[in-house]
Amino acid sequence: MPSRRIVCRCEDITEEEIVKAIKRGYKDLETLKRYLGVFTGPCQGKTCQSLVIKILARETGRNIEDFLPTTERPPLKPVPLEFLVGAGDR
Amino acid sequence: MVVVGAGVVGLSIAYHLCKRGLTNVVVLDKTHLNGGASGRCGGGIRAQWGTKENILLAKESIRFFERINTELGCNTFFRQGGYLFLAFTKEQAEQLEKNVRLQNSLGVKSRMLSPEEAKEIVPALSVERVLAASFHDKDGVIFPWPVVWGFAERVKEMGGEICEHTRVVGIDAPGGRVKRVKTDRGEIETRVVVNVAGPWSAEIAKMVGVELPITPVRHEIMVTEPIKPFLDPMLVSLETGLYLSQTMRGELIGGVSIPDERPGIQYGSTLLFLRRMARVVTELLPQAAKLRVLRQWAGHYDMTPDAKPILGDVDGFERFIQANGFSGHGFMISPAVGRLISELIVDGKPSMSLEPFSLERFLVGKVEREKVVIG
Repeated sequence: MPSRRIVCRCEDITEEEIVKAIKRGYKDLETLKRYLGVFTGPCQGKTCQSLVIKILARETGRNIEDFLPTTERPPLKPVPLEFLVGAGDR
Repeated sequence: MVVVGAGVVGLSIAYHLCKRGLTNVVVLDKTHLNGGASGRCGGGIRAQWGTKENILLAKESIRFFERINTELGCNTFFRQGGYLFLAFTKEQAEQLEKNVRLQNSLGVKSRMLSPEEAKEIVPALSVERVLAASFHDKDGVIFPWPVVWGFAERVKEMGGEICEHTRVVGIDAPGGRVKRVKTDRGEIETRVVVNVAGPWSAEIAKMVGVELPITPVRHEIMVTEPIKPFLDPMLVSLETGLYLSQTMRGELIGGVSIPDERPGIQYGSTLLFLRRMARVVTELLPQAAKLRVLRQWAGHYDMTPDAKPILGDVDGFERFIQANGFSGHGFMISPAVGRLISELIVDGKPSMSLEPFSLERFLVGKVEREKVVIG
């Protein structure tokens, strides 16, 4: 049973909301990300992406390997603007 | 009819066609919704433009965005905090004054501000070097993703069809009459094709031998962690091409000009961009220095020689309609463009002349360049 368990901790998105979106036709990671906002918070999906893949596979009856992760973008972890001023100069 | 490209403009055209009762609309996209420029843009919505045509299209579109949540049944986080343009030289200040005069003459209530008045709107702003500013309180920012979903869901509800992951590989138009569109998933018989493929529009036009003067240019953008609201308007610097706004979720989103960016479609991220962005943002908003960057990404402006879109029919063709070359401001004028193109198809004549946007304007060399392209 889909629950109100929080899956995406940055954006407070629950398992129930994810299942609902999948049932509405948002059935891949790039699309779910843009529909629900999962993977867009401070963790950038590093915490929740594997959990969402698991739910997607279960709800669509497909394999976990079928779902390619969304594009990783810099920075690897949050970096303050003041560190970026002149970054790479040394 | 077939709309090539399910970006926000293609979907707005389909939406307005469906609303007029023409529901035999198929929208094709080679990837997924929100995968191109529409899903990558900064979400700025403004009427502060430098040419009459852009001001009129933007003004009408702002009225649509003001009612978009109820009209499309989605939450777009549209927030009208205004756009604050900053001028740092006499020349830039004169440009702003000229723009404001033109905007005022067309019913847009923008106004010039002193640096002190600009600081009243954004207390965190460092105005030491600012010479003048302009402000329009009806401008704002929107979250692009739900706009695309909203248009798409309403199109499907009204009977239109949206085919993602469907690539156009050819168009049959013997003697200038459109007959069919060939895709990698089959063929569609149609007499109307609307080319709304953004940076790929020139490729689509080439399929029937039409040359479009469109150059894709990458524009990078970044987002910071969310913090409590402190930046009400979208901030624009005429010196650096910076645009920066705070979303309703609290993040700062923005980009900056990279003048030596080479044309072409490439999605990579650069340190050059992040460095420039960090320097420009911390100079204008010193308090933001400790704010952390979460992510950078990139999309494309489909630039035309005068930075204005190509809209309407093409000489020598029947119903091979263009809606492309938006040069970085397609999102914000998508409602008005959708209505006008739907009128062109349904009534044969749109309620506002598309002549200033014709492809042929580049042949006669009568162009007035839009100077207020930012980012």
